[in-house]
Amino acid sequence: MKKVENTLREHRYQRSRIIQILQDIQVEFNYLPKEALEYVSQRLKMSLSKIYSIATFYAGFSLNPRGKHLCTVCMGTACHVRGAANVLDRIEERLGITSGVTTSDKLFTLETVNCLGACALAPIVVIDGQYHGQTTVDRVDKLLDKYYEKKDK
Amino acid sequence: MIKLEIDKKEIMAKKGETVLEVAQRHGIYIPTLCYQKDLVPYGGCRLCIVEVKGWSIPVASCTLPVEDGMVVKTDTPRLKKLRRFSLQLILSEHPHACLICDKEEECAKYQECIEKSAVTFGCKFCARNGDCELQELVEKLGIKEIPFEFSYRNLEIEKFDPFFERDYNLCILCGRCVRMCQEVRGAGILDFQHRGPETLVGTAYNLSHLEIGCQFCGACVDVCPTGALRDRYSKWLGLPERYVKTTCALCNIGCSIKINVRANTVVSSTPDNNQICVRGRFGIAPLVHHPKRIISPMLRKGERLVEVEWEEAFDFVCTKLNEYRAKTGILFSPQLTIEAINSVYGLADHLQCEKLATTSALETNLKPLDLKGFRGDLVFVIVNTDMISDFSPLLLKLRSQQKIKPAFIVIDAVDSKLTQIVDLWLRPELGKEVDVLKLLFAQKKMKNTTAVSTQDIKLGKDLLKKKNIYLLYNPYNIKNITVPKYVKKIPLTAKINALKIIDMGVDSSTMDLLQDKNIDCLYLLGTAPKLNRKYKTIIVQDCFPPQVRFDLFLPTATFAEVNGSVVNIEGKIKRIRKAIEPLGKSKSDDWIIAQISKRLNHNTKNRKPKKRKTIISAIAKNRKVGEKYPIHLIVRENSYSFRGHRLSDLMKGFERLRGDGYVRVNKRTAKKLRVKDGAEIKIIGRTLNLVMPARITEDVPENSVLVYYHPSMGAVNSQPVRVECVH
Repeated sequence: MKKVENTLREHRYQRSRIIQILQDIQVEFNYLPKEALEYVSQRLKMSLSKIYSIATFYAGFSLNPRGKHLCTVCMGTACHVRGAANVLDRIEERLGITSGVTTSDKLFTLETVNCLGACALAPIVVIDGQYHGQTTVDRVDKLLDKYYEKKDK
Repeated sequence: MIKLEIDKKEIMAKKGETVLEVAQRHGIYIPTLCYQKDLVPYGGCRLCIVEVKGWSIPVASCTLPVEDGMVVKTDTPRLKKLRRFSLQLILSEHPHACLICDKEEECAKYQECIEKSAVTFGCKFCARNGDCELQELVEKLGIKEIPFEFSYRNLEIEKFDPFFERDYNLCILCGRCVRMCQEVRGAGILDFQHRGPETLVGTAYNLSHLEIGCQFCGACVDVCPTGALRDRYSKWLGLPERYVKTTCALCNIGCSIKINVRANTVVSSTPDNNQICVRGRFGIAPLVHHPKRIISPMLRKGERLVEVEWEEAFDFVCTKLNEYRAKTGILFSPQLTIEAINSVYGLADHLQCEKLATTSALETNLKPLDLKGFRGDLVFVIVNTDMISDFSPLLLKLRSQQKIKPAFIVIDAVDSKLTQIVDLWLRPELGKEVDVLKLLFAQKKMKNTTAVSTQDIKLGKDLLKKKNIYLLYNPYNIKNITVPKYVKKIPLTAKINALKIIDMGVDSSTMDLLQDKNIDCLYLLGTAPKLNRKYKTIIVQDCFPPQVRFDLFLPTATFAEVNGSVVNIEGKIKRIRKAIEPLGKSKSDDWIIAQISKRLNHNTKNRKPKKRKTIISAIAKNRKVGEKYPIHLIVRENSYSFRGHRLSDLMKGFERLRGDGYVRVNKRTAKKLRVKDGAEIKIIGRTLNLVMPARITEDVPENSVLVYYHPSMGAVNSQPVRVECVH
């Protein structure tokens, strides 16, 4: 809660900055813990339902713990045309989860987005903010292997 | 002034008004759904669209400010088509089978009972059938079919909370409840959750309303245009046939309410263009038609209680009163009408009775509260009073009716919902509230012996600077308050008619009356205290069975069944109007007393009752906790009661919301004493012995327990006690 308090102080306890506050908390904890939201509600004298409403509105916020690495597959029109569905299938198969879920070893969270605005690179897979353009089904394994190797080390 | 034209009519409007408001004022009909007076326009349903000359597309009139020279059309074929389309889209997510069924009329004739089904698939299954804004709009816009596939959300009906149920399968997401809860009530219990097609109205983490701290004022239920939110009690009682404008007598605010009636049944009570609280919204109908009500005179013959006629009852009363006369003690509840109180005083004068007392918590310096007198930059200091539970309509007025947003400081050792919304909460040790006040108003430096940090005191002092300060407190909960003269003291007594009773005076306090050895006969009007000894005769005049052994019971009507008046905290005389005929043989209090007086040859007409000297019970000494009595007992006034009966004893909903029959025990203290939640515990003091079930909470401070006063506890005030488990 100290970390949340620091975040709130940085934003000068302003209710209008709630989205930034939630973003910072998410960076800190990798998701939005219930206790943190309750604390924010108490300190800002803002209703918990309102905060929860904001947290559930934006797809960028997660209310469940997320994996160490965030894997985002773009399912926009361009990516879709160039085979993103197959790429997603392969990733789901490899990780053993469906989109929106975290692997049981807490290593990966898989998500889909509707467009990243980099259609020239389609299909795109983003892992931890690193863009991998023109991904093919064959390249998926290689891509993910790197993270498994890192974990083993 | 702004001049504009709506439907070829020239209309004057003020700056800042919306086209919809102006049109409605001039009787021009524009269909609306999400619009609600008093709420910030939302522009969600798009039914109020209008055409403005020179604009290419129609715009929502509820969010459109008037402009000079505007030419507006509200009813064109294009608008009609668009409105119909919007409503059809809305209805595609609302069970609409009955709305567009061509056999509707025949159905109403033959299928009367079908509506008592558990799941609502159409209007015939809905509790709001006939009182629904969607039905009205479908008729007005002439919708005969819905060209879209119907999508049923298939959500479970939320029935786990008291007072009202929620069926979000019927919700059309107009957002009225959300805005009402946030903007007007300032509670923020409800909000839209999730996004897009998954959007739903709900609470954080889908918690129940009880868990998230809802006060069940019912404002959301009253603005819902569909059957999504519905009052549980009145759900299947049918639509009201008429309503009666009257006053809620359950607390000292005396809110104006409407009592909705069907045949001789109170269906529900709703606000009369104002904000009320859970007591007035959900407490009245079940109270009037409570199964425990006694509606016939009862006389004890030997060991048995026998139903008797009024004549026999009056004979008994008159014989006894004639026999004991001045040896009669009269104890009356403040929740009678003024007329009844007057006749009680008249009767006491006739009997030359010097023992008249009331159960109201009084203070001699009581003055009418002047709500319009609050001016300028205000700060309210609230001591030991949970204004959200007890005085929420008043708190809303204090918060919203000021030009400059007032500041609120709470001084209370006990936590409540109030402490979370105020600007500053000072939590002293028990019994040190007065010291905190001294520190706040001290000119010089003072030694701080309270548990409040010096930093917080400084924050409080900063808030108080150059402001008009008002001190709000319930005289029952805090005594011996002294503040500088520039601070205006406003005692908030919880029981109605307090100003009337102070004006008339009483002879003694309840405790003194019950300790008086010269009394042979007790006449209890709607309040049954704990008795310490036997009396020769006890007459009870009430609605519900008392907890004392009585000789005669005179059944009275509740305030929904009588005509009269009450005086509220502002000193206003408010009318009580008869909504239904008194149930069974019950009669109004003033009628009963008038009949008794008549039989005692006492002429009640043109005689003013004599004034009595108000005696308020001596304040108990502030004793400290010691080895023998290590726990603080806090006693707070229970403003959730009617004629001395706890609402939480009478109604399940209040039991869950308030639980006034429980003693609140601090969590850590409970662990230390090995008290379990719900288990009975004994509270033993110097002159006290209570047995009550415990409720474990973190609201009360450590080493303390809290009870809400009830007459059956006898003489009890805040004091050190010992707590033991009952095995």
